[in-house]
Amino acid sequence: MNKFSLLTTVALFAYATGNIARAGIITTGDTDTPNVDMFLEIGRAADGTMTINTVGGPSVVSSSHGGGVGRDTGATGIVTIDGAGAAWETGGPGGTGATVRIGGADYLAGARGTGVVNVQNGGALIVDSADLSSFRNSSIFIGERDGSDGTLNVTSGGKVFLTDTTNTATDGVGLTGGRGGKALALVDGPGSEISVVSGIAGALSFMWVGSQTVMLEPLMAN
Amino acid sequence: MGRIADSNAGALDGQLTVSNGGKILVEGNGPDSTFSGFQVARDPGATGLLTIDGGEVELRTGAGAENGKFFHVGREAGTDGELRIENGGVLKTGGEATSFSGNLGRNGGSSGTMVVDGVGSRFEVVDGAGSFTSSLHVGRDETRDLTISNGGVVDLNLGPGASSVSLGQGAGEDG
Repeated sequence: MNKFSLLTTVALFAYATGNIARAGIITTGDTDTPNVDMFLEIGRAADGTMTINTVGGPSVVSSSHGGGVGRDTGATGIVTIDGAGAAWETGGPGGTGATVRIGGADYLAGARGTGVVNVQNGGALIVDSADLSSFRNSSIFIGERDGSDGTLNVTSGGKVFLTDTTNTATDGVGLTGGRGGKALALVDGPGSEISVVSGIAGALSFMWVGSQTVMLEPLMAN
Repeated sequence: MGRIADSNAGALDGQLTVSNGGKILVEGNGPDSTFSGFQVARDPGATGLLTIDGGEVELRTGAGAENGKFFHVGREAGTDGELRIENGGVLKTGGEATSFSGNLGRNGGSSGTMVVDGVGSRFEVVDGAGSFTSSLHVGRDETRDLTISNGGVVDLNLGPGASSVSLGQGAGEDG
């Protein structure tokens, strides 16, 4: 079953069972359209939310160009990925970027928002820069710009995967917290996991915890 | 949301907690010049805290020339980084035999602290068969602290390669 068929099935099931307001993929506020917008933003200029759950069956959101959660100053974005079979996939074959920004964005003045991502109960966030050659690959930036706030909670068997196994670039893959703003991240409970895996020569698999300035220099290990 | 809204007021720049069986894997499988590692409080003025509280963090690399694992806790001037391993938490290396280098307080003016506290709490270099090197620098260029207490363990694996712990390596340092 392809993703379109899968989502259609989920929607029909939800309608038939009267759970249309709760099932599958639910968005509120200033949030892009899942599985339509290639760069998916939740809470861009104003508050917004996205919930991906498994009511009615598996639900997958794909955004080939990455995504952002809580971008502009005063905006709060909240993403909840809840349950085994619920997933947000960014990048992948044919994509042009695989970065997820949680709280603010360094590429835009005034982007000092608040972002929260909850990955729980077996849900998954997958960041994969396959087939790409962008400068920096497969990254999650938490609290990227000065004045922003970002939080990533991985609990109750939640999974976060960052990978660039087929990328031809050499920059690496990683989790960066407190890049300019404030970052909180939690990986709690059995089965809860963040996996940062690169398969490319010269790559750096990394996580930074507290990084005062925005980094654009080539990554160095020492 | 209260914690989020308030977190810019006097909070650390970055806090990461791995607790109650949670796990982080950082792995590089490239054929050469591939590194896996983490940095706590990296850039000038940054503050960071990594707490491994009953959880696990593993750094792995595949076999290859110049591959290696590393961490820096407090890297540049003005940084204040802390790594806490407690309540049975584990930080370990793995994969093929390569090199490991850890630094507490890497460059001048930096601050790095590492605490390994409690029975079952461990930092260990556990690589595959073959020669590798492992080293832990406490105060490479500045004043830093390593505390091992209440049954905590640091094991740099005195295997066929070279292993070392250096205290106060650079000029003017105090490890």
